[in-house]
Amino acid sequence: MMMKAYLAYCGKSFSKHISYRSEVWLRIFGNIVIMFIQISIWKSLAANSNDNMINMSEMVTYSIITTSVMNLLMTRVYQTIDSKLQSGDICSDLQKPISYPWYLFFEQLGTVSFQLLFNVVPSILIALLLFGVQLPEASHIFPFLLSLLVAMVISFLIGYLVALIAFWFLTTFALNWTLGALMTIFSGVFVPIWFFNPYWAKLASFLPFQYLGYIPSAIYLGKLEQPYLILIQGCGWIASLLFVVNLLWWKAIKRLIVQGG
Amino acid sequence: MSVKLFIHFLKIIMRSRMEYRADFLLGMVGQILGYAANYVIVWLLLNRFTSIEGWAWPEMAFLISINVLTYAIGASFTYSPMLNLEQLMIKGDLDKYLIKPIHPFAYLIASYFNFGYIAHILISAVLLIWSLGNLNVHWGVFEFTYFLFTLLSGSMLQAGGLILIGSWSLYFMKSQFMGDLYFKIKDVINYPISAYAGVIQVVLTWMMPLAFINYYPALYLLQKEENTSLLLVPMVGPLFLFLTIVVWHRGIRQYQGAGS
Repeated sequence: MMMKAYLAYCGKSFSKHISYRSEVWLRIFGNIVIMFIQISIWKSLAANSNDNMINMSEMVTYSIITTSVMNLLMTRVYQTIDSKLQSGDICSDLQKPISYPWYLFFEQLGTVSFQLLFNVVPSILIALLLFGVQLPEASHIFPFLLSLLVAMVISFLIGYLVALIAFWFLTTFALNWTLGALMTIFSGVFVPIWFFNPYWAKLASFLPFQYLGYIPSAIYLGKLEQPYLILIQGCGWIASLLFVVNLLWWKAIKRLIVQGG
Repeated sequence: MSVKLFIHFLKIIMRSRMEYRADFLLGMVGQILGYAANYVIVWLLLNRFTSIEGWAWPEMAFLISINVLTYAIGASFTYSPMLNLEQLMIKGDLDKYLIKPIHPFAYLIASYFNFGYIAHILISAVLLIWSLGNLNVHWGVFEFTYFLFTLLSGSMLQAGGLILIGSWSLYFMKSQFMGDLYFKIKDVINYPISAYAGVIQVVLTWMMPLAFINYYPALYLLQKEENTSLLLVPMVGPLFLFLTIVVWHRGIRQYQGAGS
């Protein structure tokens, strides 16, 4: 019964994106540009480094996967909440007989499904023609798909956490930049963590951001010895984030200030 | 528009901005972190590989800092007016700027001047000065003058790029996605363009002259290339800015309103 309502929200947000189809081409183009920059830099580094530190076909695949995974993340959920806080719409949302976090999750799921179909898949196909992608070993496919799921859930929880912190700050501007900074470095979207120096690699391993790009790519490439163990640790992150988010939610809802509305 | 009037506009904008002082400072901290991350990632890369296309870390810091600093200066003037143009047109507010006895372009720029780039300027200036201290280049009066003019020219190029996005909305009503795309593309010049395929280098030089913002000036200042034509680099910015303003004016002349 309830599930039907959530799926309806999911479909609604999917079809909302359909009406902005014209942007699809530009998004795909943007993805290709990012992949192109990264791959060019790796090529240049590979040509100039004397030992075989860089395996080019590996790095091409890595760049394509992290860039694609970035399009499937749900961190942007805080933007939905932020605009609803500003406009006061959050009041009517909270009165609906549904769980607000689940509603947000399914709304994001609709967005992500759209991105997957109209952005990620075409981007990968074009990248395949332009740069070529290494095919995964059969044994890596299943943990890779699981890692995508973990990436989506962790990104949702991080985005949701940011939104909840915004209940105190009443703006997401500063948090938005800070989150961007953490993602740039620690998700390994450009530089894989195996190239970090030991100190920064250690730091990255203590943070959940590695699951948002680095881990899926590393699993795909078979770079991790025990992918399932890493994924279980990812579930640990999910559990702790869930705990924090729930705690903050009860505090936040009590001090909700709707600005004007 | 007189300078006095322009400064009066700035005072008013500053005053309204300072109403939310804590917000402003918090935002600055966030932005500094955001840009610091861009530097850190390149630093991490060079920690491992020592140089990109023969550019070591201080040289890379120099290259990136010029991009960020000129962007901050240029965008202070043109980011908000140009990226808000689409909304102004939809709501019909643009007409307000066209019927006042002030030059419309100047009026728009002055009333949307953005003080939000102080964080960009801070972090890029700090890294720029640090990199200059760690570079092995001798700078005389001539090099210093050249450097100042390239900063000016770079800022004009950055401002001009944003004006083109604004102009796009004058012709086609929508420019949001052009803006998004531009922000994805403009960081290509955070790396030496010699790393890219030949075609892209030609595009970045002759079609979207982003390479004139930092790459070509740095080639000369870091003595990477002896080429007298590099001395002409500071002329590109003013020329580009002039052309973009012409394009904008042509757009505004055929602007008919959005029917709102």
